[in-house]
Amino acid sequence: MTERLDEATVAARLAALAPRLVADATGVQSLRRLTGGASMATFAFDVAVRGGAPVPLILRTRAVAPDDDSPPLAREAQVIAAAVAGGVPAPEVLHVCCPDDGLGEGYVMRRLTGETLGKRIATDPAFAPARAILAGQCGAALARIHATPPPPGLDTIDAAETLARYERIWRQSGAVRPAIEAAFRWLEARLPHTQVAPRLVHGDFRNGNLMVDPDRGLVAVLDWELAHVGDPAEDIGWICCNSWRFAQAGARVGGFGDLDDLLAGYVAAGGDPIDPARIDLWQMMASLKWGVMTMQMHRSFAEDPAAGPERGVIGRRLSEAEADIVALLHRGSPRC
Amino acid sequence: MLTHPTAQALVEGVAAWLPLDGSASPFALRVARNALDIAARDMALGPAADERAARRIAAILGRDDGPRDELDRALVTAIRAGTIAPDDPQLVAHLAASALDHLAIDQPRYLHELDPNLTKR
Repeated sequence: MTERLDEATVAARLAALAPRLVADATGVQSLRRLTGGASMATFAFDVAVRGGAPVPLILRTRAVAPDDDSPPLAREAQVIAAAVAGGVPAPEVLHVCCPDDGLGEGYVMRRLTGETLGKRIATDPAFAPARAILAGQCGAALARIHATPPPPGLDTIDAAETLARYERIWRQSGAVRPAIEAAFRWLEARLPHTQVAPRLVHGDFRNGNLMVDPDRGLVAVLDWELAHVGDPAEDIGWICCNSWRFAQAGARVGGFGDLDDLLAGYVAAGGDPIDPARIDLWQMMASLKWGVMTMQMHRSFAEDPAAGPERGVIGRRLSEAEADIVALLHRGSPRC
Repeated sequence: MLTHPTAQALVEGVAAWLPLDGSASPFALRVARNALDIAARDMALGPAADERAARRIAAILGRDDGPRDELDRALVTAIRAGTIAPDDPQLVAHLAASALDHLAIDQPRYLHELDPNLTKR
């Protein structure tokens, strides 16, 4: 059982921990709970320092007992720490909680400053200087992620395994949509015949999980809970998915940049060149995965309609995945 | 017919949730209005879209016209069995027309990337 902690308890236990987080710490202030999904709880707080400015930090903990298949938060912290050591812009991990801390399963990292709202990054005029450099910076960050030795214990999930997993979930949904069926078969015919060298993959690298400064561009890559070992092209195809471009036509990368700029940044930072056909494959996979995820949202709506219509409305976003799949079917792509 | 959820389930969902004590947030109310808009467009546009889709699928499969849901199942079976390639031009033209009909109901403002030549009616 994971104890559900109230804010006063969290504040007291963080205050006890503070001297091990920051030198000359005198206490903890400005603790507040951030929105953080149903299963995780994220707290922002500052450590007060004798004779210095407060140090802004984040505590990420599990709010409910984990599912059997959810990886330990300590492993997520290890992935972030490994990525930072490899030169990826990401929040430095200061502490992985142990039972004596009384904070449950979790870790503490630095709190950085920047914008994470994807729509603002893609469309706000103030972010025009960032948009000019962001795709290249994303390419460099991805090259460094993919060059980071994966911490032990991460799952290896290649294209074939991804396709099989999502097809199982799709069949359970009972939905009958020929476009989705065509996507499964199109991808099946294009699975790489030769083994792709497995790399550390972020797993959710999209506009929305990037922290961006209006002038300096990429501040940090966030949200590492889906990190795994797999095909590095997965991360590139995911950020190219039309569903997170915020209606910015012609900006294939996240609604803010060009794929050529991302790939140039990738190779300049030491990444191995990636076959464009594999990026097409993973972009199709991205729209297909999103389509299947909308059916999982529908399922939780159907199980509890009184919780509100939001997840039912997301179920209707299957149509956008379908349109993006058909556009990619029509555009075509050579086999890998 | 769009099924996950159906128009009826969307309307029922809003009714089951809608709090009468004024506690609903502006965001939740906006979501609820969107759900009702989707359901209303589905009722207005769905039946004609289903008829068009049924005619196209019947032509692809060389079968008689019939209810769309049945024809959709037959089309899925054919794609799954490999008797129709996923990038078969006639199939892709049908899927594009259907995708546009579905977006017109679910998300009329979604910026899709379907080729205009493919979807010219």
